[in-house]
Parts: sequence; structure tokens; C-alpha cells
Amino acid sequence: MTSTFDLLTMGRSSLDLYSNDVGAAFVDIKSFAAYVGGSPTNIAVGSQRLNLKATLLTAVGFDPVGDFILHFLKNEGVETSFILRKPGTRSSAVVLGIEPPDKFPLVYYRDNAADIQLTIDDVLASPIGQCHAFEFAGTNLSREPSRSATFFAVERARAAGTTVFFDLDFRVDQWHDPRAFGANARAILAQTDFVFGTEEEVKAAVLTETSQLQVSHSQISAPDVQGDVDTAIATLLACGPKALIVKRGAHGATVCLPDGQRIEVPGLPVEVYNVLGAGDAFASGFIYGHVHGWNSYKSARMGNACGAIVVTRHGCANFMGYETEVLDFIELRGGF
Amino acid sequence: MIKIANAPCSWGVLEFNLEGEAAGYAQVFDEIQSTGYIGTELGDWGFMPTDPVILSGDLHAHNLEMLGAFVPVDFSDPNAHVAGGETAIRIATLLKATGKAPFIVLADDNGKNPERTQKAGRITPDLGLNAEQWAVFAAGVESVAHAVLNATGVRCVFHHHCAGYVETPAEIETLLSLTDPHLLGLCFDTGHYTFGGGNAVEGVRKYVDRIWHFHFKDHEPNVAEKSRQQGRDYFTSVRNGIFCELGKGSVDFPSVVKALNEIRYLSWGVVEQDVLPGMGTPKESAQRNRDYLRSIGI
Repeated sequence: MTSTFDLLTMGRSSLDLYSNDVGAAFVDIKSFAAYVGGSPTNIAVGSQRLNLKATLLTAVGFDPVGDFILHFLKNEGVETSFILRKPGTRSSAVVLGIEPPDKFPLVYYRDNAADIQLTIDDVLASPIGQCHAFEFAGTNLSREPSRSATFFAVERARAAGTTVFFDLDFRVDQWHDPRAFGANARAILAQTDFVFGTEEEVKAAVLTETSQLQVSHSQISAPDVQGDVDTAIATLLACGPKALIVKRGAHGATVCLPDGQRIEVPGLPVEVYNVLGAGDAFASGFIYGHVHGWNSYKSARMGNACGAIVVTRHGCANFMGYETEVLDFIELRGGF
Repeated sequence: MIKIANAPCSWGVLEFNLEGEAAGYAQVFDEIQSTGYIGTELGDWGFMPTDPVILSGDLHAHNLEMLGAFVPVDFSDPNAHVAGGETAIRIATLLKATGKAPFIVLADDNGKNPERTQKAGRITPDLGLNAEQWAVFAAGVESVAHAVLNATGVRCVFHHHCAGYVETPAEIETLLSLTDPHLLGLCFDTGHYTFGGGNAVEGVRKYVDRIWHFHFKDHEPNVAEKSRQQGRDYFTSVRNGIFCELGKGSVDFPSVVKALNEIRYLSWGVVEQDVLPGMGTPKESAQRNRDYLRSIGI
């Protein structure tokens, strides 16, 4: 492999404020811990901790929150020289409550967000042609100019022979119409290789009636979506990706292939503390396996282990597992 | 970084009932530790204490981790499978009590079949199992692996080995294709793979998803050539040094290590320089083997 980077991720970055009062109702939270987040940012950090050479294409504003995000990424060893600062915009923020086992409300502060201002020129200035893998998030497609920049980036990646990973990343309140998420996702799927999503995200990607969707407890990252998941999987695979990886939390993951084959990949049981970020940890582990030539089963098992480790901890990017830590974790729990 | 261990077979403690005096257990532990290794395989049953408390204490005192045990079973004989499973479970129980994530290293009953023993290192397809025999062999391996996993939680890997029915790259491929990849891993051995006609670097890359355990063993090409010319059997080849000190034979270890690094194999690498009982200078060889691996970055 002669790529300059193992992985380039593209999309949002944020200051993440996680409730320090685990179990408390949102209105009773007394303090928050300050971390860094945003799906593609988490995946870049997670991959870097697995000793991949990772870089991130995102944008922040000219504000101290942007400094905070860049400072963290530099300390993690993620290459930050392609990150933009956009005048007149704000770095993003997210506020998150933690009420295990099943309530994890979150609030986005993304009005005038810097990272949605990524442009085609920003993509051209990035090393997208010199990466083994490229990953982006569905939320990138929610607004212009990020939407066109992402479509453009995927084209460039394909032309360079880079493997394209797409995290469906459905965040309903980032869209003017939840069905627009699916319309955009299905349009870009033909140009992707591996797609990650939860069952709810997979169903959301084929949504036709807005009444099929419900968000409870402000769980923007985990809506309830009606519909048949198997039909949705078949619909998305028919759009052209090599595989759709359905993340099932404690139950592991299922690798779904276009020929109808399903590879069940068991999870690694742990006690759940905070599920937020598990999906991004999974993606880091799966991409790690792919970069090293592993098959989908072994890659997904690595992803499951990365996810299992992060759900036992408070935050996401700041708590991702390191390479030998994850490999030892797997060996001590029955191996790959 | 790959973790480097050694094994009693490097001190002449072999699974075969051979004459000659192998080193004692206390000496082997002292020498494995003092030459720079951090783990060991069990060796023959009874060579080390079989009381888990005593064995754990001795391992701890020497800063050694228990990683596995070699268990040969005559898999081509369906009547040997149940007994093989029972033996493996007894050993796995001791491993489980003394190691963190140990393996049962299954192998054929190497050296049992006279023709395979006589022609080790020059196996032709006609000397192999037929489809029916393969089905018996693979079913036996799976049944033992199942039994061990169910009874103890310990996983099994299969060690391809000269003088047994899984020696050549084609035979390894056949066994792996007939067994469940989530039940059975491969214990890849660079020396046996090379003597069996393979290229170790290609083997590592080929079995990226099946290699769960790894043996560093070199292969002396001049000895191999003589074995071919003179029609030597497996034991004569070993006696003449087919498995020489690391770095002195034909295995391209720098490329092997590079390949292991590229597939991110970071688990155990066991140095096995099989000698016959009483043969060679085990401690000095262990030191040179460790120094050699350090010189290539591990």
C-alpha cells in the first residue's frame, strides 16, 4: 500500500458536552464533561488509536470551540492540516444526557455550523486521492454546500481506487424532510463500497411517509421507524454497494451482501454505561480490518469489540480503545 | 508488537516416545525466562506440574504466560476421536486454569503413518487422503474442537506438521476448507510450511483470517536437500538439523514479520526449534533465536 493516509473521514466535528450525572433526568443535570465528537471525527480518532494513519476533512469557526477541537485532534495524532476554519460560522456543539439503559437524549447546536460549509474546493485541497479508505456521514448530505462537496468527494475517491465507506448517520432534525435523507442516501449508495447503519437508519433510508417516523426522549440518533427491515436492506443493496453492515448493538452486527447472503457476527457482551458513540467505534474497527486485508466477518468482529469497549465508558472519541487493548479484549473473550 | 514465547520442544521435550534425556522442567523454565521469552507452551503432559496451583505459581515466578499445548490425535481413525477429545479437554482444563487465553494446538498423530514419516518433505498428492478420508479427518478435528470449547471455553488451532496428513499447502487448504472458520484457527508454522513445500510469506498473507497462533521455526535447505536425495525419514531430518536456529535457514523472517505486521497479527509467536532429546545446546540456541528476532524488530 502506497497511500499517504490509511483513512480520510469527512463531515462534522463538535464540542460534545456529556452529562456527568449519569441516570439523572435531563432537567436535573448539574454538570457536563467536555469532549470532542461528530461521527466522522470520532471515526478518525478511533482509527488513529488503532494505529491507522487518519486524517479528517471538517471545518470549525474562528472561535475557542474550534481551538478546543483542533487541540484534541492534534494530541490524538490525527492529521489536522486539511481542516478548514470558516469565517462567519460557528464550530458545532452537542449536549447529551445519559439515562441508562435506554434513554440517551441529545441536542444539536448546529445553526450556522462551520462543517456544513465544506466545499468542492475544500475536497480538491484534501488528500482524497492518496488514501486507502474514505468515510463520510449521511448528515453531510443534509445541506449545501456540504452535500455537493460530499458527492464530489465520493467521485474523486472512486476514481483513485479508494474504498468508500458510508455511515448512514441519520439525524432527523438535520433534515428539512426526513424523506430527503433517504433520497440523498440512495443516490450516493451506487458510488459506495461499504455502508453502516442501525436497523432504524436502514428503514429510515427508504421512508415514504413522515408518519412512519417517531423520535422519543429527544433521541435524535435512535428514532423509531416503521417498516420492514429486510425489504429496506434489499432496496439499499440494490442501489449498488458491496455490503451493508447492520449494527445491532449488544447482538453484534450482520453483514448483508447483494446476493442475499447474511453473515452474523456476534457481539462481545459488556455492561452498558453509555451507548452514544458505539456505532462510530464499530466503524473504526471495521475500517481497520479492511485496511489490513481482513474479511468482513473478522473486520466486523473487531468493530464489535471497539463498540463494546466504548459503551462501558462515559464519552466517545475521548474513550476509544487502542489497538493492543482491543485485540487483547477480543482474545480474552473467545477470539475472532 | 508480537509477543515472543518458547516451548519445551526446543529443549528436546517432544511428543514422540524417543530415547534420550531431555532437559528437566525447572531448567527449561529458568532458561526460557533468562533468554528473554515471556510465554511458554505446556509440552508433554506431565513434563510440567499438572496441579494448576503449582503450575500457576511457577509460571508467575518466572513471569511466563501459558499459551497452549500441543495435542496430537490420529484424526484419520474415527475410533480415536472421542479419546482425543477427552485428552484435549483434560489438557485444556489445566491451560484454562493457568493461562489467560490459551489454545489447544491440535495436530495429526505425526510420525504414526510409516509412509508419511518416510517421505516427509517430499509429499506428492498420491500420498494424501482421499475425499472420504478427509471427511473423517475434518469431522474429527471439528468434534474435538467443539468438545474442548464446550467443556472449557478454550479454542483449538490446527498445527500443520510434517510426518502427518496435513503437511503441504494443498493439504492445509483442504483441511481449512472443510472446517468451520469460527471454530478452528490455524497454527501457522514457518518451518513446517517451508519443509512441506510452501513459501511462508505467501502462507501468512493467504491465511490472514485463519491464523490464530504462530510458530517461528527455520528450515535448513541443505539438510532438506540431503533428505530428498537420500530418502531420509522425518526423524532423521530432525536429527540432522532440518529445523535450525532462526535466521540460519531459508525462511525469509524479515518478510514474514513484515507480512505479520501488515495483517496486524499481534498475538503470540512461539519459537520452536525442535531438537531430539539430548541434542544441541538449547539454552544457547534460545538466546540466539531471541536475539535474532530482536534484530528484525520483534
